[in-house]
Amino acid sequence: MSEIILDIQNLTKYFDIGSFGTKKYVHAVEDVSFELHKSETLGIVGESGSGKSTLARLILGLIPVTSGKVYYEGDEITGVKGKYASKVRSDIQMVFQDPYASLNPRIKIGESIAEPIIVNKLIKNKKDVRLRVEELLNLVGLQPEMYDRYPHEFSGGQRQRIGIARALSLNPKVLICDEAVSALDVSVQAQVLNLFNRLKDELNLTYIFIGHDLSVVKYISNRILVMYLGEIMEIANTEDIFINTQHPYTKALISAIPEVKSKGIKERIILKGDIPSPVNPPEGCRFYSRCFKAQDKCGKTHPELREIDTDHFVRCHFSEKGGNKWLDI
Amino acid sequence: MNNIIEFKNFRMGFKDESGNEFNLLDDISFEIKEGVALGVVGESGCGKSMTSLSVLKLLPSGVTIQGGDILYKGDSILDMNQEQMEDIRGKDISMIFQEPMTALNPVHTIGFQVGEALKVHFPGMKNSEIKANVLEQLELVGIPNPETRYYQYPHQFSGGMRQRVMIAMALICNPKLLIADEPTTALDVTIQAQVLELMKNIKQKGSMMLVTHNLGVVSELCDEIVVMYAGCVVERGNIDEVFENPKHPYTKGLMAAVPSLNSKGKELYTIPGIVPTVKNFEKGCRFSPRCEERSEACKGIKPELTRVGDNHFVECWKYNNSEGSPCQK
Amino acid sequence: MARYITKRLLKAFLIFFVSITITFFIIRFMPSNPVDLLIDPKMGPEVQEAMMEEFGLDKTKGEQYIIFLKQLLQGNLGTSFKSREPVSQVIMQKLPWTLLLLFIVVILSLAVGIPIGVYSAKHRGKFSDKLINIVVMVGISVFVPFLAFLFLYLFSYYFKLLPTGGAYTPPPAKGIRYVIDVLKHAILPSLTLFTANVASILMYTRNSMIDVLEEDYIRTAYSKGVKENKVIKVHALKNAMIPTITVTGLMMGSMVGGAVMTESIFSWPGIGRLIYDSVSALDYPVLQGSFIILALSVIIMNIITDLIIAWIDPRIKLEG
Repeated sequence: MSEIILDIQNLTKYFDIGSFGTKKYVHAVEDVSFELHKSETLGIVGESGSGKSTLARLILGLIPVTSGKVYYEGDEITGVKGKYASKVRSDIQMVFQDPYASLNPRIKIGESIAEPIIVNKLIKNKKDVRLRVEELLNLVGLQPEMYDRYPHEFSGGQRQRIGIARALSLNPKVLICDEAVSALDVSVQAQVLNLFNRLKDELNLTYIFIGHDLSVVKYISNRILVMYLGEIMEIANTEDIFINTQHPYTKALISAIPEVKSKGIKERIILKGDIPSPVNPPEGCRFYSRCFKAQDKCGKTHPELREIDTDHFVRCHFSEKGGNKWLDI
Repeated sequence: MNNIIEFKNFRMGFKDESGNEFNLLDDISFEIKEGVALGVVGESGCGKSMTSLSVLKLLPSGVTIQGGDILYKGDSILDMNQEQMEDIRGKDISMIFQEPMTALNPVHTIGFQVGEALKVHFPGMKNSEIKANVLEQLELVGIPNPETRYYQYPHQFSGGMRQRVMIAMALICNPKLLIADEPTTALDVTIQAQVLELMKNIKQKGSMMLVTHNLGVVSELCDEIVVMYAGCVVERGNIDEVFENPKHPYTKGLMAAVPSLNSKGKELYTIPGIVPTVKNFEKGCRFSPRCEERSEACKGIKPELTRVGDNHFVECWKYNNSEGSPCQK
Repeated sequence: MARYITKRLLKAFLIFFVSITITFFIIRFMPSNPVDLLIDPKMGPEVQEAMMEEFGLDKTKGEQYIIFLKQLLQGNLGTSFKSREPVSQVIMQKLPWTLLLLFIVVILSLAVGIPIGVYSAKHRGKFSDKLINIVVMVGISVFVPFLAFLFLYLFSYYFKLLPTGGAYTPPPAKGIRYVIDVLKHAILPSLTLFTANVASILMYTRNSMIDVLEEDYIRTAYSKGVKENKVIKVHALKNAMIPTITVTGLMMGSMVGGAVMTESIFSWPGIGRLIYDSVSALDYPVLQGSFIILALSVIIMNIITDLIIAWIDPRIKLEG
């Protein structure tokens, strides 16, 4: 196993939405711990309220943590400020979901990409900055002449590439992609996914890839982390997640994906009810209300995240090596 | 089997401020038979939403009909006046839309909104009868506690619930055709599975026209498929046929670009180039600039519809071996 | 909803409290001798001394503040320099006249502004809409006193159709004749204020309606076969009204004291005119009292506006 580049320990974030003294918290992220290994792509999957986007922002330091620590290359970076923070910030960058909203419409795209370089004084000479931006544009498959164009002149897929170029401008080591392809059309999505893979090899990057589409996350990730209502439900290597699915929620997610040519073959698990609110979550297992294999114990006792197989962690009372005895796998 | 809807060489476009006329939909022809679920697939900008809105004449202002016709049970929809259209809408043909969050009026109760179509089309119906009907529909679509929910407002429902309400609203007058424009795109994966299941159950009641970009969803629900690109129908026919033996280069490219749960590792096929904008449509085949199998002639002349199977048609010169075809195999 | 009302009233009380405190301190901390501001130097020395006692002007600012609050609770706003009457009495004589104008103007503005705004939104971009737009622009841009004088000149002086000023022609008549007389006098000032205000209501309604008509739920309504005027009346209007109501509330709140110029030009005996006269006469107690009443009326108007909106919009009504 290669070295650990990011170590997330017990990260928790509560948002206070109480008024006039009443205590009401949104448990956005609850006690999340995992390690990110150099050169891997860790996929994080979850639906609304899973906390995956909040988690990304906590790691980047964009919002303060309620508790927990983040270690980058061995050093603690939770809540750091000042010069050290900028160094860390440039090493860990983010690509956002909405290619239409994340670029300033009044600035030339070349200048948007150059901005981080200039602000962080990476390159002093103006001409050199421009050369670097053109190099980045090439890297993401765009023409250097496009430097002088404005965002509205580009398609969604091209804008996403610009966003990637901007994220790469500071030579980061870790890239967090927050639903980076979710707003794109199928064929464009394929182009951008291929680009991600190519860049990873060329620039020796490490990715955290956040998404809600398991087929996309599966395609690009080495390991997958499944989140539900702020907690990790299962983490394993991509293959294991699918071949040795342990958590009922993961099983439901996999079966929920509509696939071509799977008509009649696929057994469908339809979860009942809605995704509950992350405000004041229940005591026992957070998936209890919708779990198709729930027992009494699940409503009362909160299951811990346990390693039931090599590098395979599950948060369920009934998982054990060899399979979850309730899932008949 | 009779045709509920028939598109006959339908052409539609708009005029810009200078009076130049542009074409959006070109020569759209296909039918929806009684009891059949037809999927209309394509990416953004292909015109599938416009096609669905044309059936009920709900197009935005400024749009011009440039040719062809749309028939409902043999009668021309384009010839119908406002009153005739109002009679059909909600009663014979209903529609559900993509964003359940905004498709319901926030200041009226669910009960009122679901029952409104009954009020409009059956003015003699008593309020108690209307309410009874609404409650029945709400139960049919799986809304728990319909009695209480009847008096609640949209903001008190989750996304999946609102979409169910939309379905109840659309089905209350037992329409012959339900048009669904990306009904599950804005929903979480597990909720999408619930709504798809529901739609499978209601399919038996009549015909359906499902517009989506998700090939998996279409394969789950539909019997026939129409593939659109840049305002044209490029391929259509029985869904199993088309998915087993896609003929049009675009269809093939689209299917290869979707990461399925089985495509790990292989680089995703990407269709080179990007979707053209309205002002850049090619005179001949609109896909030819990106087509890897194109010939010279494809650029100049628009291909005719060719039969390639029992219920399988393609608009591509590659399959047209007739006299005068520019593409000789 | 109950929770919302409670929270709203508490906020209002707080705002009112802050406003009157600021009023108090402005008067007390002005450069000139506060005594001169509150006790008319022309009064006799014994009276002056008595008043100094009463207002505690010889005491510390803190003690004065407590006296001020106590008096406020008793409804004692001081004594007018000019008329020697209690300020509260003076204000109460004038307030109803302003409220009458307000009432007429608001009803007219809503009755004319909303339908035309809706019409304009429906026919957006067409010639009628452009025409209405121009008229509205003129209405907003015109200088109110200019309009007032114009009307005065045209209708009172030139055509001799309407009275030149005051709320009634003295001596006041009785019963229905009195009412008609007052209304006749109210026409011109109302018309002046109406012209300036109806423009806002019209524009807000029009723009809000245009936004609402673009919303998805309007398309849903059409897809059910609902006819156009029903879609507008039942689906669009309630949603579109929210900004209009807000702006009407603000308008009413500010009109209580804001009609100074109009009331003065027409000699309409309302609060606006009172303020104007008091400034000329340096009648500070009346000014202070008027500011307090103004603050109160704006706050009350805002509460009413908020409550109406909360009642219309179930998202506010139910979540509080």
